Amino acid sequence: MSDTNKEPIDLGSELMIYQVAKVKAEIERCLSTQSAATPTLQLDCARLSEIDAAGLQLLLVTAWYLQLNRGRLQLMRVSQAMHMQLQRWNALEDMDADCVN
Amino acid sequence: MSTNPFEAALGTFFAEASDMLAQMEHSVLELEASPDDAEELGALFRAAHTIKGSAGLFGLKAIVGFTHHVETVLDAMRNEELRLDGALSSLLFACRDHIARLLAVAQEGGNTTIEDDATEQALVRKLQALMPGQASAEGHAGAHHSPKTSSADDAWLIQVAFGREVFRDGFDPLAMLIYLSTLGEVQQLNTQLAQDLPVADWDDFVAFDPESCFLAFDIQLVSQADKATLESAFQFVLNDCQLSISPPVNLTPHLIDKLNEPVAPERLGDLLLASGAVTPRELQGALAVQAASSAQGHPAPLGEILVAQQITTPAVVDAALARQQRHREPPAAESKMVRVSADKLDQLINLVGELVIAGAASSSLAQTHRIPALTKNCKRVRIPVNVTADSGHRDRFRCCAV
Repeated sequence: MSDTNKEPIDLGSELMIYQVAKVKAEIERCLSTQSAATPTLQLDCARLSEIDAAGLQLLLVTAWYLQLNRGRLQLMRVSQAMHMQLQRWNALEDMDADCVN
Repeated sequence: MSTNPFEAALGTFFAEASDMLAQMEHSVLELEASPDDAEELGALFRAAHTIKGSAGLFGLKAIVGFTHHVETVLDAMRNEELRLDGALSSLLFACRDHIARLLAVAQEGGNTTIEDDATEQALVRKLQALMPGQASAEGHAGAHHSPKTSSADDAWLIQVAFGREVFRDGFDPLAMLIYLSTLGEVQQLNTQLAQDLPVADWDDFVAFDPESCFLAFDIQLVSQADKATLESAFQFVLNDCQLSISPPVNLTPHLIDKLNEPVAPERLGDLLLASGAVTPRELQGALAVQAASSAQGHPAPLGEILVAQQITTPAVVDAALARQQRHREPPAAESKMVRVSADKLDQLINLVGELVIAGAASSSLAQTHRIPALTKNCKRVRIPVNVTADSGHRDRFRCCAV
């Protein structure tokens, strides 16, 4: 049985070295409260416009952890520009991205 | 002085950029006097290119974006598509001043963007107007770009695994990869995590420190840039990353040609360095491995180390070794021989004969008219002429005997 966080975690406008520790703590808190063996995590990217290597790494590590545990990372409301960036770094193979125009 | 590597490197960048701006100013002034001076055009282009490239490494997008437009125009000047006149000279000075302003803003921690700067928009419009058919800077094929029809054999394979401290030192690997992509066409890019980062268990995930860097990338890049230029994209983190740059398969014949050029150093490492097959950093690393193996009593050949580390290919090492061997061996006797047709030899002998007769006549005239200086010179001419004549006759006899 799968379990998805009810409120997607809001990533804000930047996911960079300055934010990754805080965002990871939120992800940990969210995952620790999920009961299912196949966790799915949703991140709200509506405002996300800047990402650096540390931010990309956090998304990848989270996605791979979830995949190895039969779960999935879902990026919600991703802008076209951010979608292109994630595609450029070949990151979208390991996560779902719900793109908005 | 700052101990933070990023801040130290950034300080170096601002100092270097200031020098480059001075160079730009100097070059434009020189070009006003001689607009076709290729050397000065090259210096002007390189100054703008260096500012753009280094700014890219630090993620200073505003500087990269604007300088790209300037660089496009300078490239056209270098390719004789544009010629400097009074208006272009004024425009380039204005661009130089604007880059200086962007640098000053960046130095203070800001990042002016094109949207909020009317001056920049006006300058960009003027620069673009000079480049018909080049409406957008995006997709511009820069100096190092390659045609889209390239194959995998044309691509460099760049493998880089960043060190743990790279983020904390203030560097963003993505900025380096973006700069790298300006040097050519990225055919493929794979993002990976370090093998020593376990992420399967919950405990592992909790233990993962997001401020430590575990990222690694494999990039296939088609580029006309040389290995040293590609390596320069990582210049500020070379001590905190594992970097391997393998040349394209199609570059091997070119490297072998370079190794066969007549003037070449004798040592294998120097030969490979001169050809561009290895960079100084790679050679230094391989020599350190060789020294370590020697210390253990089993000295490993340098070529084998370089191939094992995928720095270069066996074919290139073999060519270098062959070049080294040729350099050491005395030339074979047959390589000193040149075949000459008997007719040509006869013709030469006849000409030498004419010289002997003319020399004798001159000598006779000099003696008749008692001109000591001319007599002396005639004697000096007669000796080599006679030697040549004797030698030529011997060769002709040898030729006839054969």
